[in-house]
Amino acid sequence: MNTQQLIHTLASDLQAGAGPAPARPRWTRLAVLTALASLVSLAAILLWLSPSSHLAHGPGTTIVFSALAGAVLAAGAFWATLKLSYPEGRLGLWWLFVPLGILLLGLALEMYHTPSSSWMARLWGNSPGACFLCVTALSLPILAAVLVALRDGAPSSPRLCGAMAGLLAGGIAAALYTLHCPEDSLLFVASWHVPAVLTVTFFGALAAGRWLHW
Amino acid sequence: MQDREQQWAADMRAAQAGSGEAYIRLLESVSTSFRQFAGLDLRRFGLQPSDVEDVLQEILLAIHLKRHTWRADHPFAPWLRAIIRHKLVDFARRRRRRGELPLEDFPDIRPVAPVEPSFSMPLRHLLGDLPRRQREVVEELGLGGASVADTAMKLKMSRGAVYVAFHRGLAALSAKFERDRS
Repeated sequence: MNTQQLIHTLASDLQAGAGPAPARPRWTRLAVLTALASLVSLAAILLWLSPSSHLAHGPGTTIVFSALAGAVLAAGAFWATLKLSYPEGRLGLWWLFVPLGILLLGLALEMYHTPSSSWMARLWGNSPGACFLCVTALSLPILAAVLVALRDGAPSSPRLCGAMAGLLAGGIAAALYTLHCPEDSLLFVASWHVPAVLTVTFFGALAAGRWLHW
Repeated sequence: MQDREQQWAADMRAAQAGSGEAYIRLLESVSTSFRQFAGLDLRRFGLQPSDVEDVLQEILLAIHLKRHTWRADHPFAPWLRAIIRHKLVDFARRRRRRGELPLEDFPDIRPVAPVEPSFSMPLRHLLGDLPRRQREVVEELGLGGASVADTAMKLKMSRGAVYVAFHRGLAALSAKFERDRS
């Protein structure tokens, strides 16, 4: 097939195709799929995991700071993922300092108000492995949905785009998981939830390298 | 430069609204620009002059398959540049993986003009070496004369995937035919 023939084939495919380009902006598709998958993770928490005993006393410092950091991380990552799904999309990573700053501020408050002798016990908590696995597992349906939404995008750097998708999924899962997490310490959150989010980020980059190739 | 950007953007808008005429004008104009650019810059990517049309066809395919990712309120040229760059890097990477050396490394061998594959060639005995998908698509489309839509339905692939497989399959056949002949 020479190039001229190809151009004419493509043009006839254009006319035979769906006609006008999809009117819906792409961010709605990403948002809807992300929200639906988040509901799946939320349902899993509500159905299978008991509500956090700390919620009974109203949201405390740990819940507020970790949920806020997760939500801000997810919002920033949503924007970054969307931006990178266009071929010409470029990205700054400065916004990552916002959720990080929230977490560090919460940590500083907690360490100011608690004796340093209790820090190690707080850091290890009672169920470090389970929380790490839960946050990772709860992220996966969201990550899968985001990757599906990204399939019709065209990221120039699929791995970076996938990593942002992982941060998006991890941020949402970490925020939702505060509804259950039995530990009341940001030292715990920073040592076990954050590595879980980073693991999901790594998965996202890995999966995107395979699936988002175009 | 400014004129071209405006012309491209206008043609792409018309194409997204369904105008085949504007689409052909756009793709031809992009091809002309790419050939000019490629003549100057291709070696930087480790490609040979005879690769220009192959890369160009992959770029045109990518433009077609990803045309919905251009937003009408954004400039066209940066979008196009990103696609061209992505496909050039991709092509060069595959070339390196196959371990082919650029002909320029051998001073007394000159690159030959690429041969256009045509279906009257004795294709069938060459088809066997292609990956299964590519073989099926080339058989359906090229030898069987089926339409892209029918082939996509029959093989349960997206139309885009059919185009890509067809194009890759033909390129591989063309290369193989060249090798067999020499």
